Amino acid sequence: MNKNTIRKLVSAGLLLILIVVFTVSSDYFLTPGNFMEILRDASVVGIIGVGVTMVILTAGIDLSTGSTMALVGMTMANIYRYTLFPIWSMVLAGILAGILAGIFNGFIVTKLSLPEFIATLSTMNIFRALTYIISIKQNGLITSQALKARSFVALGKSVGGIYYVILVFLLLAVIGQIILKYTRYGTNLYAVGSNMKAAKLSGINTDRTRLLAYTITGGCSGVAAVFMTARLQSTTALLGSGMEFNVIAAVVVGGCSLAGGRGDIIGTLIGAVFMATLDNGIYKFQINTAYQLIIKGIIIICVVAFDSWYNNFMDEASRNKKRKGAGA
Amino acid sequence: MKKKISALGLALVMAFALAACGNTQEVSREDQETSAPAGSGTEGEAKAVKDPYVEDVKIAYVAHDISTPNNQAWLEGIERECEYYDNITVQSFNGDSSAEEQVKIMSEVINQEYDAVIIQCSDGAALADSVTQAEDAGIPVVTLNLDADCTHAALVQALDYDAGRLVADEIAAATNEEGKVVIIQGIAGVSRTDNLEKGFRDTLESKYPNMEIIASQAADFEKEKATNVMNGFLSQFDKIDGVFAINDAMAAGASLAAQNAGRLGEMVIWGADGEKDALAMIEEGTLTGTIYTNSWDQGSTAAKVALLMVGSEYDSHVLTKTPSVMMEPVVATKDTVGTIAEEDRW
Repeated sequence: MNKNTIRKLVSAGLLLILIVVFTVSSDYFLTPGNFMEILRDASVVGIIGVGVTMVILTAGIDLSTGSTMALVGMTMANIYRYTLFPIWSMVLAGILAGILAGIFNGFIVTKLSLPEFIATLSTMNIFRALTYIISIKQNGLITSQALKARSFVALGKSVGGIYYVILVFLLLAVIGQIILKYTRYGTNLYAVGSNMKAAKLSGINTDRTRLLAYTITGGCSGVAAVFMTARLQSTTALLGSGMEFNVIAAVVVGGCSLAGGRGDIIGTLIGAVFMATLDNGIYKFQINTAYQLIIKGIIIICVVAFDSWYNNFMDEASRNKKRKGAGA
Repeated sequence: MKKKISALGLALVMAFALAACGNTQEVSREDQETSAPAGSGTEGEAKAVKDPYVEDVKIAYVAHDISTPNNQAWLEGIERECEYYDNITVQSFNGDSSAEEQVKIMSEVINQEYDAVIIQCSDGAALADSVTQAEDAGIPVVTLNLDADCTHAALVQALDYDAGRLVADEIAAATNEEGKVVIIQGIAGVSRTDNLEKGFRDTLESKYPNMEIIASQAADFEKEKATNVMNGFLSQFDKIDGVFAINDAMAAGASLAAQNAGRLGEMVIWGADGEKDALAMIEEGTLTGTIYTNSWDQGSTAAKVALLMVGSEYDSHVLTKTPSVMMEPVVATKDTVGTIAEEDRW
């Protein structure tokens, strides 16, 4: 078994421990309804996580995903309110807005050579501001816009007890994993993240690789926004505030290195479910909100600390092995 | 390969679009608008009536943002109300200023079979479905200030639109009805603050044609940001007669900026909410006034209503509109602030 598989098993094991602890401490945790609720929460974060994983693999970061969601939501709200275009085209236009936002991110990161953190921090504000500008206003004041078309609201519902958003997340996760592991593009992502210079010298178009990663992230944010607004049956200019950090946390807890070159979608899937489980389970302890946050923080620190220790340990082990091999 | 990926991506988008469009052909927007919200109309099970002062009762308090003085005061009020009864537990949840988070929490609260929910809805439209679901599950929902866009047990409300009107009247009176006014706004899209601003603007427009709003700028409810915004206003305008900050924290920030510029004397500064610090500032003369609501009382009123509902055979389906309890607003100025007792300050 290779070290990544072991690591993932360990992550899954930690998740299992978490589930056992919560099950023992609350009667309300291990019920089918709650289980679906956890997956539903994990899915929105996870869908964006698919894209963000690719960005982080290239040693980049995307802080604008939450604002992109708001922009997508408000784009759809405008189409809904002011036109008679069918709902599917509204959804498509929303996702397209997300993709454009992603392309914009990719463009300023690669063509203007801005540090990813600053670039996407700026676009985080720009996209949020654009959302304000195109917001539905009543008497000059920004209001939330209801999106109550039956076919749209249905996207927030379930089929056979499984929410659509979960199915879409699983589909995107599978596609993402295939792209990472079995396509040239996937290999390029790892190469760019591990060593950009080497990747460039070996003929990889690093700019295009990174630009596409941001574009995919924009598209994923768009898809996530569609399901989020379908669930909320409305959108506001504040949609997705703080979402970017939940996503990054899930991706990192799932074993992605912020330094790039390490991690995959399966890890992100585990990370997203882990974070959602933690959120959900913590609510069931009848304790002060502040302590809930402390417990959450400590658990995340432990998991990521373990991850970092484990990676060092395995690197050390493989180095020793090589040394022994060389000595023999 | 690249082509393959882009083809794959395109195919996905199309598949998704097809899935999304489903059976929506030829539906006019009116039909869509009027489609019934899910959950409504389905009869809940016959409600089990509890004796809220004897049997175990769990009340969830879902805050918009637990860290603000107002939310803390409500929680404190709810807890005080329930303190005496050992059978009642109050659990607070932090909505983190996000409707998404509150929707998640509502699912959670329904799942855990709470007996009643007290919530300040970050976004009435977004929370409507969750609130309806809770009501359908026999959990009465009491909203605080920020209403949900659906019928529910009760709304316990501090005045917002009218509070804006009161501030407009006060500022107009102080400036002989012809002052230049600036507004420091909160985060756009939050209904209470929007209503405050609307009440203020509407009143100035309709009643005081000679008053002029020369600028307005958001400072996100934060004192520090309000200081910066106010500094900007001070350098931009030679004459500012009145400042209306949508909450007290921002009014404090504006006051600070005016003090530093040595121009506090030439203007009146009003906030809204009536938190303890603001009342103290009014007493020391650095703030002109605020609209005070007894938030402890408001929290405890919400708890009383919730317990009443738990103990009644109430069913949301008998209502066609949400009944509401209005909290009395107190215009707090240097002359009246003394009437607000020390123990009522939050």
